[in-house]
Amino acid sequence: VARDVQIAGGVGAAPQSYTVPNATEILPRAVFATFNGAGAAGAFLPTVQIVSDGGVVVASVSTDAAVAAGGSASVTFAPFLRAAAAGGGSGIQFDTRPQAGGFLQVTTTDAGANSFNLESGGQMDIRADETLTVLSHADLEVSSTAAMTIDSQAGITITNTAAGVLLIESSPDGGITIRDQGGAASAGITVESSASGISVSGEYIVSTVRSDNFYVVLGLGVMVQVLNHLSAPIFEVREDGTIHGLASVGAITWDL
Amino acid sequence: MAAPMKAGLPPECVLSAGYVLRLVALDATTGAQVAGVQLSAVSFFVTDLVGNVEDAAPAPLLVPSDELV
Repeated sequence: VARDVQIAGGVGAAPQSYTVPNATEILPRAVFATFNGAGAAGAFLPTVQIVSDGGVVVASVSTDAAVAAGGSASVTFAPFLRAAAAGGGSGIQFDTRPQAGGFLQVTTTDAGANSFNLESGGQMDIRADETLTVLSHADLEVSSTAAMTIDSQAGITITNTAAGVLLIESSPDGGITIRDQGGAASAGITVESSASGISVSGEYIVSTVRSDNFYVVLGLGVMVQVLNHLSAPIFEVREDGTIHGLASVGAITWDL
Repeated sequence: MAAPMKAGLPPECVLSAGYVLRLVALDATTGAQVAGVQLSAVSFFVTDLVGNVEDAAPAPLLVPSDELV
């Protein structure tokens, strides 16, 4: 009559074997053993082998991960078991690297601040050989408590397609510098406004290149005006070379 | 503290007399046996299809593998 039995073993150096006795047939349900590698010559895979009566190995089943020399593991072998990580070791594991595979997709569905967290006690690298996309359907915040560097080998575009303001703001004592390094093929710095003009507020506009010359280049038929605090023109320089001042003031006084 | 691990075992694999269940530590790269690994708490839980296996058989049923060859 078939019955389930436990065959217990003692302590001994690996390998250890159990031979099915004469006139007996068994169906293994589970095998358990503690592998102590304190004296192991190297890392090892805890393994169960089935050897035929002719001495031929017909099955050899190992854990997916090795036990380091000096480590130990309590191992359960049973049908349909696999390593804790899904996919027989191809999923996310800890304290082991590299973990390579065809793809990795992680999805969480809970709402709230802690739905998905990536935290590192040290440096964290996120790298992609192709496009890296970060998409948020709410606010996207990137902040650093130290310096922040955005470095591109192929140009940087910051686009704001909504109605909000695109604001670059420094700390009160920081200042803002936009610097063109001025290579042979440099196109300089271009500030364009399509409709509402460009406002510059500050005490000075200073040129420190080209021998301190400062150039205002007027397009064909364009003029530059100097306005008073009421936005009324005081005088203007036209592209045709003429200078015009307020009629109520009279001629421009050239006495500086 | 031994880390818990688990692995598959061939299902519905009936072993007749003379077949061997062997616990061994293998090198992950070469497949060679790794020396110096001690086994303890060994337990085979099996279905005895005939009824000749002693329940909770004592340790001598497990023998160092080298003695089999």
